[in-house]
Amino acid sequence: MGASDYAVVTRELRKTYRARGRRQVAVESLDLRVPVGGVHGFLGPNGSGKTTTIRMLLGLVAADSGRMRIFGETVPQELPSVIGRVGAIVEAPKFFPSFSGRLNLELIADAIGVPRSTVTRVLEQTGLLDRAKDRYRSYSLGMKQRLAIAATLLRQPDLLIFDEPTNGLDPAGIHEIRQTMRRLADEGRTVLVSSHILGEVEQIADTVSIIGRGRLLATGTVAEVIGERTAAVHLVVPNPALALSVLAAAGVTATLDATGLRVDGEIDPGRITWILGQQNIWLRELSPIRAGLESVFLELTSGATLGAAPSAATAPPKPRSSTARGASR
Amino acid sequence: MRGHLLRAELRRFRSRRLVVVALLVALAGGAFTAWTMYQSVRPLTGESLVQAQAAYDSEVTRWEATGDAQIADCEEQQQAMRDELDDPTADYGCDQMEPQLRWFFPEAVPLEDSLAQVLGTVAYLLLFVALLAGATGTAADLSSGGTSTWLTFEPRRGRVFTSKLSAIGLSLIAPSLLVAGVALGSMYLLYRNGSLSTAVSQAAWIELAWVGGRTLGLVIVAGLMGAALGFLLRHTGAVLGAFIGYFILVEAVLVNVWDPVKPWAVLVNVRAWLEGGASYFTRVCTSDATGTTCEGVGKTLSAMQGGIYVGSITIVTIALAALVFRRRDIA
Repeated sequence: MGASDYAVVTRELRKTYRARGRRQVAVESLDLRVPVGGVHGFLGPNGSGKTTTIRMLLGLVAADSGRMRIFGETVPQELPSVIGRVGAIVEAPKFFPSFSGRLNLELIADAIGVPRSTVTRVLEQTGLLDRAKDRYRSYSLGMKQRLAIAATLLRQPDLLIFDEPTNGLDPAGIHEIRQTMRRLADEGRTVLVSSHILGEVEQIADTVSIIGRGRLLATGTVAEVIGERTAAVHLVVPNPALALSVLAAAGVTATLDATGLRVDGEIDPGRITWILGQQNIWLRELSPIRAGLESVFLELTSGATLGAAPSAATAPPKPRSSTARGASR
Repeated sequence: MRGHLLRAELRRFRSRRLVVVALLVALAGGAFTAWTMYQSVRPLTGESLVQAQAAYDSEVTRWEATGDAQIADCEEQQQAMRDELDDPTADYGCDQMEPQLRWFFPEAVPLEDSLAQVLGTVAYLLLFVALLAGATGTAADLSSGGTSTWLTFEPRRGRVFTSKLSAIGLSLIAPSLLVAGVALGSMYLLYRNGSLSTAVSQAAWIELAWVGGRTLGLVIVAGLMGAALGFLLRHTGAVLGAFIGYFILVEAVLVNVWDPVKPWAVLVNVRAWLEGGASYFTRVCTSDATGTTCEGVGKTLSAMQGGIYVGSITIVTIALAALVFRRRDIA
């Protein structure tokens, strides 16, 4: 598995900030691998180091130590040669408030030597053509986000980096951005999306990396990260109340629900069957409830402290098919 | 790529509302400066003429009544000073106290003198506006996060820095010429409308061109200095605050209480560059058996000295700003 199979690779990345006279660690020994093609969710609670990592990748913030590569090029040293393949939105879109959406894009297009006709095309792609002449400050949050996406599309990038792209958006806006990211990935691009909203990522991500307090906690495909772990088992029994007391006596905590019992946590279904069978309570149904990304995320990040050993899947996600757009170059 | 960047920066700088407002203010300021100066140099007309005549008549009447006493008093004080200094040449001008008609009816100042004067005044307005425009050209981008977005498209900070400064410097040329043109043109039109002589000698035009050229150069330097300070301080308000703070602390206070700092103050060097030289006074004290005697000694800074000093400060500030911008984490 060569480095070129990955759009982004970081190795032992570290960044500290000085705050109130003390050094605070933002990112610690981060080994991140984003396969070429598809959507890679970069997950972590607020303040976990996602934005700092993205800023380091884009050369906005200097790393204290460690190595970073984008499409095999060492950054920030070789960033100028690879930046043409990267489009990024870091945190909230930042454009000139008194300029129109079109002027903001035209200025960027001028700076990177892209013809102005491209501006019209990306405005059309992002549904902003009708409001292109309006001042940026009059745009809704969703429109600002779409303008930022339009800006990233000016160069037809192979790697798109979106940092918390749905912050402040209404459900329709979130859906729209999600669709856009998925569509871009389906076109063969690599989309790296950082977020603390699990729902939006779980629906579109092919692979994910979860970080907490600056450290990588888990990485892989969504299925790998969730793994085979069960979050709970659902039981259907003839007498739920009796079963509840029997389980409680055996030290298993369960709760009554509409159709039976729910036992939370990772538990061996065979043991439940045995406990109840001892009291002649025979199961009509036992179904495992699979963990969602959200529960894995919460489990991993709730105790995430610097120095804690990574758990769950820690093998880097495998690269996707080499027919992906970025890999073919 | 550099050409693209410069073109984009030029367009962006010109599109900034504050820059446009600053230009309009400078244009209005240029015309207003010409108008107010004209009011003080034009010959009297209408009611002013009547008032001047009345003032002259009143002064003559007063002189006829008290002139002899005033002369005697003056001569008495003059003699006292001659005795005190042991200098028989001390002259209080007691023989020139009689009111003269020309004191009340001044002649019009020649246009060439007025043009030089208005250009000299407008220069300071342009310098301030250029400093402010330069500061907003960089600081507003940094504080709004625009630079961060910009760097995600062009990560070479050296190029971004150079293109911003170049754009600011180039953008100031045409507006400065326009403002100076409006000020000079307004003065010319005021003279013509006032039926005054509009003759200007060739030597005066050449001198005006020299002063104009030096002014334009300094306006560009002020813009670059503002831009560099904008990079360092990151807010236009902070640059303005630093500017005002400097003038209060150094130019208004320190210069007046500590002589050695006088030749190193920015304003006197700016004045030297703009006016082809500038004088300042320092106290030189000598002590002997009778005590310490201090006297003011005039010193002169040449235009070249002023230019080199201001240019050096600007180069150092730009170099520092470039270094900080290269190394700073961009939010």
